[in-house]
Amino acid sequence: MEHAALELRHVTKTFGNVIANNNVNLDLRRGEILALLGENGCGKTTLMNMIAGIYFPDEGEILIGGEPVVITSPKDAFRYGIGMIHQHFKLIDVFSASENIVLGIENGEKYRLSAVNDRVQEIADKYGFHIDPKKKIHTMSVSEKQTVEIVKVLYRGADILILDEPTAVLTPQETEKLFAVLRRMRDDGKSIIIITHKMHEVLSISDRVAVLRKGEHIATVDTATTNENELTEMMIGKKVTLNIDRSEPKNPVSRLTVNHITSIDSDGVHTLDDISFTAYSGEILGVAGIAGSGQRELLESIAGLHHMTEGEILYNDPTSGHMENLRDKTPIQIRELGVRLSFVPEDRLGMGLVGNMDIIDNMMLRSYRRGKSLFLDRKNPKDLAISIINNLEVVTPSASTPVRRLSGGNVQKVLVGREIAASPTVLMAAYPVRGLDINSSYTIYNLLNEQKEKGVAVIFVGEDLDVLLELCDRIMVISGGKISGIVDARTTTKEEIGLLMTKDVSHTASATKEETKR
Amino acid sequence: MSKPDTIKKEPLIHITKRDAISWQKSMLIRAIAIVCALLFTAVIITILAKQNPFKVYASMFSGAFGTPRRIWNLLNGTCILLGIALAVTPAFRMKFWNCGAEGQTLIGALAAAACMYLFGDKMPLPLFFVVMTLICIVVGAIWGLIPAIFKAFFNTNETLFTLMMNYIAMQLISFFMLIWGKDGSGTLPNMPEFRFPKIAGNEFLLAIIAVLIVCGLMYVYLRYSKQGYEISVVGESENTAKYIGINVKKVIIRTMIISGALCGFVGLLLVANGSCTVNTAIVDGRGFTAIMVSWLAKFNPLYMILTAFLIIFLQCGAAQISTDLRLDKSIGDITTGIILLFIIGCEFFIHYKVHFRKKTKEEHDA
Repeated sequence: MEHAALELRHVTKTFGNVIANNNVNLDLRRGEILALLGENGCGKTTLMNMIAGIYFPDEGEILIGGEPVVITSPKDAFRYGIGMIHQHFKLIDVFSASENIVLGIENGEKYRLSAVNDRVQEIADKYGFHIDPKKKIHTMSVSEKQTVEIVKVLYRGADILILDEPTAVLTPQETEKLFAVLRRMRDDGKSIIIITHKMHEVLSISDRVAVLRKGEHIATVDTATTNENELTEMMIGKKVTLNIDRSEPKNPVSRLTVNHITSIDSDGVHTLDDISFTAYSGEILGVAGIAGSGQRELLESIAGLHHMTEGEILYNDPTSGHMENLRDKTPIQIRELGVRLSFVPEDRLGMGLVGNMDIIDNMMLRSYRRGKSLFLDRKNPKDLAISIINNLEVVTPSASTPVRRLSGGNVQKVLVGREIAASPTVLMAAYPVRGLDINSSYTIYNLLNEQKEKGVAVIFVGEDLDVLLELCDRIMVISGGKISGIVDARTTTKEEIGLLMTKDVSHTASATKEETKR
Repeated sequence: MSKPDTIKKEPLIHITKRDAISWQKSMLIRAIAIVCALLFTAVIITILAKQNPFKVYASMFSGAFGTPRRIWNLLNGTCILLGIALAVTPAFRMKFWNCGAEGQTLIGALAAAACMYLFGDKMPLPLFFVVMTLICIVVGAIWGLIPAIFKAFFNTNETLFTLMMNYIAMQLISFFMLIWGKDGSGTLPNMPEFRFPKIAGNEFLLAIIAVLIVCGLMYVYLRYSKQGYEISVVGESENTAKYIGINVKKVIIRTMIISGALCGFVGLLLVANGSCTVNTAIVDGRGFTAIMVSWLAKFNPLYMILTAFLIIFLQCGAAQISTDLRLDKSIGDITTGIILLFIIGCEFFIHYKVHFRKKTKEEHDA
């Protein structure tokens, strides 16, 4: 019998007291796509990092083609034909695609860029990539950058490819393209491991699925013989319903009216172009769109963090009934007006929280100014931290643990918990479940739903269309900084939204950017 | 596909990050580091200087504690260094790399000497002390404020800017010494009549008490005040600071005013509680040594008392070694260097664990 391309035997890895992987046995056959499935913090990335030479296993061994090997560095991994495409790209912005691809290769050959370009093009043609070898990274879209990363490992002769959540940053269309390429690579005899959270992707791309739970390998099953429910059960160990409750909005009142807001960035590009909509109390307004279509600028404009060149944002105060214009107000001024606006930004540790501070001090971010005293009150934030830890089941050693030590889902619970604790009337959340496992995602959906039922106007920027369709009342689709449609989430379809997302392509942000550069 | 020769072999050493370490254990590691440092310097001294290492240690100790005078010098030196370290700390916690403590202290010292020279005799002494103190603090604050304004509004690099300000301060002192030096010698006369009064007959006690008070205040300010919290948030993440509505420019400027003002105050102590005159060497690089004091203490004002003491102790000891044993000054410096290297190096073993093949033995010594 032919040996598997890659085998892991009894691999264990611990960090301090935390067992990241415990006695994992896994094999990857030649010419197959293996999906690696598991909740956040179940040790998927750690396991893959051991194969890629970033970590070294404490126990157990790795076999390539039946031979035990020692991989102590990414260089070793390349020597064995293993290439990993990380979630965060490792590319140099001012270099071209080819320059990035050839970077760090020491094969004794003379460096000739034209030869590299030809070879890159050859690889691209073989598997159906679209890539311009001479294009600079900083002018590329996310999906193009990903292509460069993949070609980079192929260029080095990788036979085993590991992709860590490659679809997290892609649109459905781009994902389809990526999958087509992956299938072609598989048919060419490459072995591929793909990490993803999205169940329908697992089912559509993989030949087999390996499930990890709490650092242990639960099972590897053939994709053809399994289904979503079975996989979910293996993954989280108990049955969960995949339905999100959606109640009808109760007496919706217009809470936030955005009129014709426009913003122009330093390159002269319209990041927001004449955006007008109304958010009602007691409803969840979804915002869909390709990443970078103006979602961030929109939320930051409302929060007082982004300068807009035109338009107004009117807040209808539920207690006084006054209309307040939030335009050109700082976050502090907005707060002083009595506007209870909460914002869960996309960048949790870089914006919403301070990674090196503990949970208590992070609670204080919103409340520390209260009172005239020169000194801090740590008592109330401490109580809040403890109640959030208990109510949202945050897994942490204590309230005085720095938040960067928590896993992604727990970080998000801390952030959302704090924002909700301010009893907002408007709650904006940007990609609040990105990178979260199913259980944590549902905790977040439930929290948003609770807020909706309390009469909060919730604005939810999401990327998973299935979730948007199930959770929201209305969905606003933006494309290239413009609203391409606002649809009823109960009656619309995924296809309709997908079309709206790419509507009016000639005016997308990237296209305008290039035009102005010329 | 070429294969490495060492198949199925664990690497000899591999290093992992520690989760957390108990207080006792980290102290043990530090103690072992100091013992190792002493053993290592003993070997070096025996080989290079052909001296009995115990004699060298004894002379080092006597340099620091030998006479009451030496002890007071040690304490005074510690306090001056601690004062400057406290001054740079708020800026450093904000990740504003203030390398201009030297200049800010110099300009404070110049201001003190200028006050003495220009109007020391024109008002009653107690009033004069108050006026002089205020002027020194304000001048130091201005020296800190200038780079802060440029950083806040034009995002200039604060490291270069503050470094350059050091030279300006130094040249200003040279300039005024030329003008005011009566005999054309380019030095300012001593003006002991304007010295701060002794406390309990001791000339150093005033500075020591003042700096210890500042140390306590700084600890409380950074840890328990709202402004101190804002400093930490801005230092950790400017985006978060903006997100919660902190005015980042204001915090940068306010913090650098505090930093500069404190340096100005230390400059005042150097003149009015020390030399009673000024020259370009009066701060003697302590504006930079203070950065190390602050870092070693992980920006905690209370730990800085220990780190400042350690550094001054080593300096006093090193000076004594060269005089006692008629050795070149460099033997003292080598000793100091080795001890510091071991103390700083042992932090690695506090943060990381070293595993050897097949064994999980821990390595304490550097």
